[in-house]
Amino acid sequence: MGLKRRAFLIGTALLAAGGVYGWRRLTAGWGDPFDGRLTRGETPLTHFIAIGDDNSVTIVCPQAEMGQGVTTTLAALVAEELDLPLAMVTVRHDIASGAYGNVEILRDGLPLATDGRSALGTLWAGVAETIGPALGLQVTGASTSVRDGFERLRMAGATARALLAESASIELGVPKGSLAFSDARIIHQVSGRSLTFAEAVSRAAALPVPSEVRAKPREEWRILGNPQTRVDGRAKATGQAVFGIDVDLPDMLHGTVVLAPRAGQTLAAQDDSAAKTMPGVASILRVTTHWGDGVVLLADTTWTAFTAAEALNLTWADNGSTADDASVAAALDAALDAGDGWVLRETGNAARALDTADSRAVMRLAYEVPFLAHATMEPMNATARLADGLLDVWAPTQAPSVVQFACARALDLPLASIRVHPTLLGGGFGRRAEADFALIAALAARETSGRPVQITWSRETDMTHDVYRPAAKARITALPGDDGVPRALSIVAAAPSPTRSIAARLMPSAPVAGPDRFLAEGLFDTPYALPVYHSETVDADAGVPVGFWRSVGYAHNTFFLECALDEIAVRSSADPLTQRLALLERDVRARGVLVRATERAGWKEPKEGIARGLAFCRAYGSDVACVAEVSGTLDALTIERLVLVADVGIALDPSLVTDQLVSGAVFGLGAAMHQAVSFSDGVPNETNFDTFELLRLSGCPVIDTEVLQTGDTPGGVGELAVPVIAPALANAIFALTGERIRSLPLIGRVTFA
Amino acid sequence: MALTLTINGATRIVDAPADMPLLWVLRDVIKLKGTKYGCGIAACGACTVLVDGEPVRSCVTLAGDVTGAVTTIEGLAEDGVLSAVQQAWVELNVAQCGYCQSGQIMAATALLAGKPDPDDAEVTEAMDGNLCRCGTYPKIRAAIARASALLKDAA
Ligand code: FES
Ligand code: FES
Repeated sequence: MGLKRRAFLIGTALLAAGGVYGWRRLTAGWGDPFDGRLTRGETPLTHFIAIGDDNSVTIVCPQAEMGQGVTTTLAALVAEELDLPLAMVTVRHDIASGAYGNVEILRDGLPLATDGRSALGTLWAGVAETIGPALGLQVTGASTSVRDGFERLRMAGATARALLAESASIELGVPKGSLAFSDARIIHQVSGRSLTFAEAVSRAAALPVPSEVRAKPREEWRILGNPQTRVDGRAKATGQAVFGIDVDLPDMLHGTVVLAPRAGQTLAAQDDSAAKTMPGVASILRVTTHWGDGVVLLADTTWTAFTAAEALNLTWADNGSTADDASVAAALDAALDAGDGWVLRETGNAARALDTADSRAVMRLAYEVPFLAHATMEPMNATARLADGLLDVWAPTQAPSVVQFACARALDLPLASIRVHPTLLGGGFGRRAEADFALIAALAARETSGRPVQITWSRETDMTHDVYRPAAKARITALPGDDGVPRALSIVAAAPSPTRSIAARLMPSAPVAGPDRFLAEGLFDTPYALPVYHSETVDADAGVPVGFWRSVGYAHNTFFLECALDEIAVRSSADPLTQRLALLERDVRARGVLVRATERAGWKEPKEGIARGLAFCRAYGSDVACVAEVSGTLDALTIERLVLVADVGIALDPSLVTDQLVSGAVFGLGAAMHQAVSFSDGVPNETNFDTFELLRLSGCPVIDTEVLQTGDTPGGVGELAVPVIAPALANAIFALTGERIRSLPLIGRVTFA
Repeated sequence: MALTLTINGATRIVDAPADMPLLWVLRDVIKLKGTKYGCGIAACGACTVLVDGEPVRSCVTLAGDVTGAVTTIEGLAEDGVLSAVQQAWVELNVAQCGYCQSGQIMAATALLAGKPDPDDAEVTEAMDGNLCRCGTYPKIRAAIARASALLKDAA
């Protein structure tokens, strides 16, 4: 119990800091994250903001910028409080510190009490335990980046403003209330006298931190709530943006890694005679991590290393995974047969209702989805240097804390001797919450006497050594009722648990017990008021490493639930919209997105040759509904349009929110239409973009979006749209053709025009 | 081996094997990191550069075979003034993670150089080999239209 309570207390302390922002106290135990990182005579005001003597304002973005625009929005939060034009704020994201621990992700990931079972062994708690007493988990995921920054950056900005105002009031000898802020100046409006931030900052930094500051009320926002130009747009349009793969250090060796073809396989013999003598090859090393065995090649260029890798002659022991599609299906079926999963929601007695009902009235449906790769556009890579007992790691990581933790363990270094420098990420989607790519670079750096090394994975290595989105199967039993509201519904889903898989890589010795919410989300937490509902999830080891993939459990569970509801509606001759509204009778916000999405799509006005399908999901503090429109036939299907309406509470930047909805829709669409990773004798069959197809421009339909804001905090949006696409499409295809597709990808049953 | 390459208007003598793909000569030898590695098999477009104005996949183009003038993303802006395509990209917030965008911008630049006012089908044809995992496709389409308008205004 100790751990859970501690986690809770710390979480509470940080959350309470929304009112009283004691930043010095919060960073206690972590040191000053700015220490040794300031430039240009900068003075820190809070651990998020530094003022330069050239009057520059720099903020630290503790979240990974992986495309979601978090740097822009966090800068806007500070700019708003300081009345600065956004363009005057510089953002750096290269500082990692426990002081930037993500509170929201802890809240989301913290164990569930729902089923009364203890979940203390789950990953987050375990990592937090090991990382340190202050629970500094700096991780970007679960669509929390803006949610986490919302309070903290605003309060940091408000604190900095209060300190600067106090300083100026002393300096100018005028009351604080007579001061205005504009363009990094503090102006006494009556006399016109003013100080720049730079002139006010040294006194400000010496003042006691106010015990209470108030952020601007929403009615006074001028920047927040309005679309901004991305702060990283220019660098990304000119080739100047530095991703992990672009890090370039003096005297750096370029390398790559060859990893065991099968999960769990060890290296039996290594013949590197041909590779070693190739011009430009510096050294060849064996690396072992909990992600698997591998051989690193270091050379003068990445290309030399890639070429030398092909000349390696490696013999792998006969101890790896033998998973293939049949064995995966069998493992999932066996788990479903065995039952005894985690029951995270039980309303009424579904088993009895279904057993005693007339069996002709009971629907029994089987659904399934395949493994999926993350396929970030930037392949896995990292750069590391180990000199004088100090390890520096430059990595495109979603989880600097996890990188630090894994490197400390593997290299037997104290955490304090490891500095992680996060770079921009060429996509994350959960893949970069792992530590393997950074760890391999760190292990290689141990062998180069202080020379930095950069390890870049080939696309083939990246795709065949992913931590995949779990394959999953569901058995759904339903007794339809009036209005499409099922009189009883049971969904039992089986999939390998990402939390167990991640824990086995990160902390193999730690016991993992209790339910994995990431496996069950989308089923147990649905807002549908199902009168008799049994939601159960069974962990099934299929011999394939799995991890977090954009929208995690929602991705497959929403497909199961939303298609099942559609089937039930059809069986009861109910309209799928009416059905959902009936299930959400008291849920104003959920009804709002469904009503608006169907209005936009013209749900009630039939269009010749077009059929529509509906899906809804609540996740990450937001609601989303999608209407998919399709035309044609199974042999020549056209996706005409996707209509997406989301309620995100507050949209701090409506244009970035819209971009994330579109991004998630395209991501979900590619997966629904084309993608699967299949295995033969433990080896993935898909190796590159020629076999794992991403959606292309030509396949991208019109995506119509609307963002509703009926809340007072920002909801998550980066993953939100992904889960609703596949069910909306499958439901639309049924409406068009009468064919019910219960397994993904659709390409197995449909030919796209 | 010494190769002679013209890159962004400058002639460079480069010490690299002739069979090294242009992508890696640019990135690891000349240290122009704006051109990206995505797949290595001409399947994603992240590595697109222009050779004499034509878009090529630098990951499968051997440096020793390149005789024309190479333009990379770093060569589009002149004295800090963005090209029309870059300008449109910034204005419309096209880039999300941004990793594919050097390739997208190079492909769009080549398209507009040949067809200043492309229709939808022409845009699709020119851009379909450039993948974007972040799903910026609708914005790419809009930004090409915007760049086309900017070019018209400038003419
Ligand atoms: S890296 Fe050249 S096309 Fe993908
Ligand atoms: S912007 Fe991320 S891959 Fe295109």
